[in-house]
Amino acid sequence: MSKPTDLVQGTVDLLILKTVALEPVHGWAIAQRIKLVSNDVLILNQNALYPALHRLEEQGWLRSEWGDSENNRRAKYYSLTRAGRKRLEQELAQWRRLSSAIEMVVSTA
Amino acid sequence: MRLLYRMGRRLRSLVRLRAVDAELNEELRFHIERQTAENIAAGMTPDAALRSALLELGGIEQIKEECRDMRRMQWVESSLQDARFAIRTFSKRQGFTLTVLAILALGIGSATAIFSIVNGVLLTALPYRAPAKLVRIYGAWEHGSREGVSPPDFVDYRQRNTTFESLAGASISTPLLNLKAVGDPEQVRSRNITAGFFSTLGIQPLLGREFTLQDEIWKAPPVAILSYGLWQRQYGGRASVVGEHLAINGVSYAVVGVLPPFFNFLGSTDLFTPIQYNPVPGIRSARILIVIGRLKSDLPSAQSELDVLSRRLQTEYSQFDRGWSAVAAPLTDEVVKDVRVGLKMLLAAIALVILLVSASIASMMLSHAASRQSEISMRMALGASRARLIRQLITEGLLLALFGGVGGCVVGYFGVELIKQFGPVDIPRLSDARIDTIALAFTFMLSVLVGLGVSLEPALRAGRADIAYELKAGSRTVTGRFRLRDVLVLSEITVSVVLLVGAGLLIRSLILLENVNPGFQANNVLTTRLALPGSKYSDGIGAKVTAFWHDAIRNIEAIPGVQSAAVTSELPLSGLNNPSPRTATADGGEPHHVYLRSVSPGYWNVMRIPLLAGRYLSTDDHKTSRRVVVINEELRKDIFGDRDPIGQRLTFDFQERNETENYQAVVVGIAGDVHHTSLAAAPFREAYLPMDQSPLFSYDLVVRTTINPKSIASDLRHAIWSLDRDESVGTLRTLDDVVGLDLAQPKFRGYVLAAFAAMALVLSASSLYGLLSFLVAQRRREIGVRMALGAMPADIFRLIVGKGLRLALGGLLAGLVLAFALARFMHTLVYGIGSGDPVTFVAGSLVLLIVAVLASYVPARRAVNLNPVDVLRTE
Repeated sequence: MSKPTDLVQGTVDLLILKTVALEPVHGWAIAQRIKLVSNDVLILNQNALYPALHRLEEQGWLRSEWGDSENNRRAKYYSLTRAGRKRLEQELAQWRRLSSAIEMVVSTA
Repeated sequence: MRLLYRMGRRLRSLVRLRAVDAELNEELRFHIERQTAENIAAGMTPDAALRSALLELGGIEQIKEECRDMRRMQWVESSLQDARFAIRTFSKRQGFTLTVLAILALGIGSATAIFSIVNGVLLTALPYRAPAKLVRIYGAWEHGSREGVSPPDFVDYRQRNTTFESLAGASISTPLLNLKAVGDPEQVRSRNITAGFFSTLGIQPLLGREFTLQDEIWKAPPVAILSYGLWQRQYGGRASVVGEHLAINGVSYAVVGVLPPFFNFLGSTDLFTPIQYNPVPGIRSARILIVIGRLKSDLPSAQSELDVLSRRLQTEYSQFDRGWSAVAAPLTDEVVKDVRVGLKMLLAAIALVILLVSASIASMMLSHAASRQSEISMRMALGASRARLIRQLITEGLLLALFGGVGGCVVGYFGVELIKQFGPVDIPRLSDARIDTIALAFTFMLSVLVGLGVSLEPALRAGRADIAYELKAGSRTVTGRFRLRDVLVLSEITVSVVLLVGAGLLIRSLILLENVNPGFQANNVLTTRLALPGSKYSDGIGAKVTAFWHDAIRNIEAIPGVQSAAVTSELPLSGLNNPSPRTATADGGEPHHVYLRSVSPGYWNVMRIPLLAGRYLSTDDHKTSRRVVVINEELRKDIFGDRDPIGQRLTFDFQERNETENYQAVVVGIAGDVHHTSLAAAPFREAYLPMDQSPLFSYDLVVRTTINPKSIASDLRHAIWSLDRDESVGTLRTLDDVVGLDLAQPKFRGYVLAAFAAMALVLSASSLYGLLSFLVAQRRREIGVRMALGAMPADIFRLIVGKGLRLALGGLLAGLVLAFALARFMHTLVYGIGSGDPVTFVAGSLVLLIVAVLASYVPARRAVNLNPVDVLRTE
């Protein structure tokens, strides 16, 4: 399995939070959606996905519940907590600051 | 809320590790299935699709492990971080930290020590089966005294009752006997018991059997049961001991059983023998048995049956049992009765001390937090979350409390040892007391509670902190915090007043007790108890024992340094009392209860008990001369009133052996009253019979010396051994020690409470001092402005001292009310004064006020000495 892009460190959280923010979603779909939306550029390694999900839940950003999936199998759905939503905003703001800063450095240099 | 949610999750992952793991499995399995399905849809064969899915996921076990780590490490890591930070903070403020730790260690330590003692003595259930079903049955005289039950009465109760599973009896007295078994000869404490005594208590003999009804028969073959300790000492724990013989006072007894270790019934006993009583009619008035019973159902129904049975006995044996009924009381209460009030008081005191320690630490933490406010605000400004800060502060509080708790365990351990060493010897089961797991758990919980309690306020405050406001230099308004500190200091003072008054009452009682004239002179008297074997000295008329005692007294008086020697059947304050009082009746008068003593003629001379009228007993009062008696002042007042008792006849309710008439004696003298049972108890009616006319096998020897009484100990032993080499002489004590022992318990209570009160006073004074110093420091600018505007130093002084005194007076008032309410519960511990003793209350208030003024004076001086110019320039 090739890794088209190594994810910038610390952006996994942002990607997960952002993906989960729309609607409750299970682990497989999170990876799938990130891949889809990024046009196959961002491929979230499963090795990183599940520990990250568990950590985010542990930190109280995410909550999880079991529900029926599209093919009638029980799956673990993640959704954002209120604290998670705040966290997402912070991470987003930080990301925008960081990326625009990098953009500025890269384009002026 | 999030904290709670996370706590819940964490708890879940701890408690339901397996379930959480299963969920993880399920989650990953779903992922693989889903991916496989996707791959198939993309055109792979099912096999290849699964393989690809697995490959993509990577090592499943590795992921699972990582997920688990994520849950665990998060918490542990940040906790460690908190702890590290807390320790760094503490090491920066060593003075503060050490003070807090010292207060905590002392507070928790003394709490643990007292709790261990109380737990050992009061809370640990008796090692008997179903102790709640056990009762003790007294013979109760209609005129108020509670005594034992006579053996024939006991047998009648045993046969006729229907409400008890079983009844059993044990002798009240535990005479010392001379034992010769396999090991060294020794004096052992013995008790006579009835059949079924141990099964009633629910104790199984370790070896052999307990006594049966056959063993109770008069003149049945003598048998004995050994305590575990005696068995170990004499036989080295040899199992084949049952069936062997040993010699008790020269008579051979067969060993039929051995008891399990730690058996204890109203004091420890080495040896048990069956009670075998001579079935003569008069024995019915010998109320020598402690009767215990195991209830079938409840106490009231048993009591009403006892009422019926005792009324029947009163009519059947009116000569002996008139006026005597039977009263049952729970045994658990009985065994620890005397010390229970004292121990409960100590428990209450310790609760107060803990309260005080927490309050004083809380107030220290408040000023600690106040001085850290800017640090905390800074951290919040830098993005630390409130939850994180609150956790940090709670961690600090808990850490302090835990270290304090560890210190407390150490202090508690030495405290228990100290109390065992120097505490009163007559607290039942004190020797068993130790820091046990319950006490440890208690300490731990206590420290956690204290930790949470004291960290609560600063943590909440940090949670509310308004960063900008707090960071602004010069903002000095801290009213909220001051109000809380006021309340804390006020409650500390309240608690101090309660402890101060309690200690005052006990100490005053103690001083009064120490000044009680026991009725005899205790200095320079040596005493020991001697018991003669019946086998060797029994001759039916008492001539052999009388001769022995006279010879012993003569030999001892020949020792250089000895002034005089005598014997008495029961030494005052020795814990021995004639178990069954007799009645004495003057001609034409009412019967009165009296305690009989048998003494040798020199007794009053040795004890220096004053003669009030008539004469002492003399050597002329021998076996065949007219029967005489010396009475004490109490008896004279109650029986003779205004009449002159000398030459009057008293009739007692017992007969001499081989006689049918009741014993009569003529009063020849009146002696001063003696405090016999304790210094705190009023003297009771006593009648002294001459030893020659009422000889006994065992006596307390009293020897008055002109030199240090202990120095004649070995001479005294040889004086006895020159008469009978086999006679064992027990511990020799001075009469001063005997009297001192009577004061041991009140001393223990008084000193412990006094120590608590002193601790309370120091703590609350330093809290008050701390509060006022803080106040002065915080209000420097205000004070400076006031002085610049013309306030006199006296005004400033009044401002600060007034604040201190207002707090002190408030606390004092609350404390006095509380103390007055609580003191009523300890009225049985107070001697010679009422529990609302005005002297104590006034003195306690004065002490508190003086300390409060002193604690306010120094900060007030500091305020007065402020230079307004300096203050206004720096602020």
